[in-house]
Amino acid sequence: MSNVEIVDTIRDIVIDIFDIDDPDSIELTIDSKIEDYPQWDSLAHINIITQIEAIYSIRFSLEEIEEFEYISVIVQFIASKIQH
Amino acid sequence: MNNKLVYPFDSIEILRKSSSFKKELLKNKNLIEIKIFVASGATTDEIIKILEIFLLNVGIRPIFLQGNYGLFFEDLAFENQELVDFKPDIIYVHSSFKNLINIPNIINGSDEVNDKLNNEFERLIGIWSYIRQTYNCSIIQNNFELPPTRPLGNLENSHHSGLVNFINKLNLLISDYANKNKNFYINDINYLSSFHGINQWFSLQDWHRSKHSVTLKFVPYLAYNISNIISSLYGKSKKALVLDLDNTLWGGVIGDDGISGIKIGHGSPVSEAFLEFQKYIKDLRDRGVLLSIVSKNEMISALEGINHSEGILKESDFVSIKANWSNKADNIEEIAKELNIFNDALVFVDDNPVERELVKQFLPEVAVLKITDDISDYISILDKSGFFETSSVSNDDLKRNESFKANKERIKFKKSAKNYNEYLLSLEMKAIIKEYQGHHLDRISQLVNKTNQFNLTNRRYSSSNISSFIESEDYIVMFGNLNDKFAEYGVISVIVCKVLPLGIEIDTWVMSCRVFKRGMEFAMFDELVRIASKLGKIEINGEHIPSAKNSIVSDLYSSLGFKLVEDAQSDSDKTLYKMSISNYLSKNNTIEVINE
Repeated sequence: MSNVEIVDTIRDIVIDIFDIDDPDSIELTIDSKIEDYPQWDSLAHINIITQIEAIYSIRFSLEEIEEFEYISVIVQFIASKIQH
Repeated sequence: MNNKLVYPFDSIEILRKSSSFKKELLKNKNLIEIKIFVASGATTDEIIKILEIFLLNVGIRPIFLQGNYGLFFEDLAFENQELVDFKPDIIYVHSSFKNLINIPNIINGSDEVNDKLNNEFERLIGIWSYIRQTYNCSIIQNNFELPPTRPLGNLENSHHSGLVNFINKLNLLISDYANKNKNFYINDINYLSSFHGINQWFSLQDWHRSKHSVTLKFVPYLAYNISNIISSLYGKSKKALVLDLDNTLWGGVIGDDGISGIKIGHGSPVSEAFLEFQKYIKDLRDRGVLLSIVSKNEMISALEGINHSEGILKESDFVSIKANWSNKADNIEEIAKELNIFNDALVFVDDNPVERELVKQFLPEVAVLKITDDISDYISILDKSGFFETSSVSNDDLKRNESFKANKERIKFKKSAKNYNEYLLSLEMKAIIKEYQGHHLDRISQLVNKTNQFNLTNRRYSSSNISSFIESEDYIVMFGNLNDKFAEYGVISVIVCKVLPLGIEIDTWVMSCRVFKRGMEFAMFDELVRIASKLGKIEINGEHIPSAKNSIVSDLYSSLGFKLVEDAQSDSDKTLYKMSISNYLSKNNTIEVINE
């Protein structure tokens, strides 16, 4: 799975959880920073993580989650976990 | 109804799409509003969000007030003006084993542990008593889930300082309290967590990360469980099962395989699985769920299969059996009519996905059980669907199947009577109608909350509301109890009146659908007039607020001789009526009223 596909998956999750009507209105790339999204609060965060864990059948550690500041970090963790 | 919210559901999908589900469900206009305070022992945001969509899905629009994080005790056991102003209908206490403050320690002697247990329980009682005195609402209380870890290992279960032992004892105290106190309902997370697995239900990572005492993935199961309790309190639980026969109540096709070929009873794993399913359905029937059959079969083969010597269900367990070749949706509608209930009180069970789809399309209000193709899953799916959740089991529930059967006898009997009045007289109906005198409070509040058809105003009151009406001089609460030569119906009608300076005003009047068209409304009203004149009142006011389901009472007040009050607020839906009681002529001539 390519990083682009993973970013798209995260983007789709975010669109659903933020309940965004027009998918084109949200810009989310591998360089995006989580704090740039006002709706991405601590509660949305847990939901997004739960969704990612369910889709890829993976589990993040508490320490990994603390590092989630950029989409790129999340993508990296996902990519390394699904490789194993 | 959103099919994605019907059990078994995909909890991850619900968490992901809850906002769009909510938008969709809010388009439904026929919603009843209830106010729920969610007291917190842990994070409650998602619980509220998901509970909201499950409730919307059954026609309830909740208005929430969220308690302060972790402060359920402080919010509930002390003065709380915000909560007083909110006027909750329900307080839900979302606590968990993480909130226990009197945890036993290995160095404690057994007396010390006992004290701790009592202190913990007293703390809870303190909350509940304060709620009772102050808010007059229902309480939904989590009991306690078992801890995920056991420092003492298996000994935790029996050793006085074991937390497992402690929680088991505390849960028994809570059960006992629920048994003895009205308007108190346990949200059994001890059961839920063990059903889903304690290890999945609680995750230390989630607790550390966000103080969730229930892993996010299981929040929908928790919320669904709460919504089922609330549904049962507001009359939204289902009343009847509509069952298919071939490959649903037995394996095989009776028409092809014959009585000796169908699989039911002891003999093979498959026939035992069907037997087990029949046994579960029989248990539902015994507690008041009405059973009926819709099967594509000749009646003669259907009955032959139902009366199979090894089956548990018998022909007499069903209040209606439709075995024919016409459309199942039509048959189901006919059953609803016969039983005098709405389609939304029915649950349809059929192994055939085509039939399920047809019923979903033509009768979207009917709940269609989402079964798999494995008979051994049927029971669990039906059970966990919570369709028949009940907040209490009354004697009337236990007799319900009998009285519906008596209704059928009566219909046969009706055909032999010359005219309707003569028929009613021949039923030898006897009623007790009087002001509330300390009995049947459960049944009275059940009727007020669950009656949709014969219900003039659709106001819902908890038993504690009703208790306060009974105690108040400003209200009259009257009930009617009916029996006839075929059956005893128990309490089937309730009137709540406000006492005004000159007259009385009927605030609520409900009657069970089992006794429609029997003249009971006239007997009730005669008695009400008698009580009003005894109080020296000269007039009775009535109001009718139409709903999607109460058209049966739209002419009630006119038929009783009320005059329409020209309504000043023409924008409101309600119609007001008035009647002077000076020249009232009694209307009941079919029921003998015995009031000692």
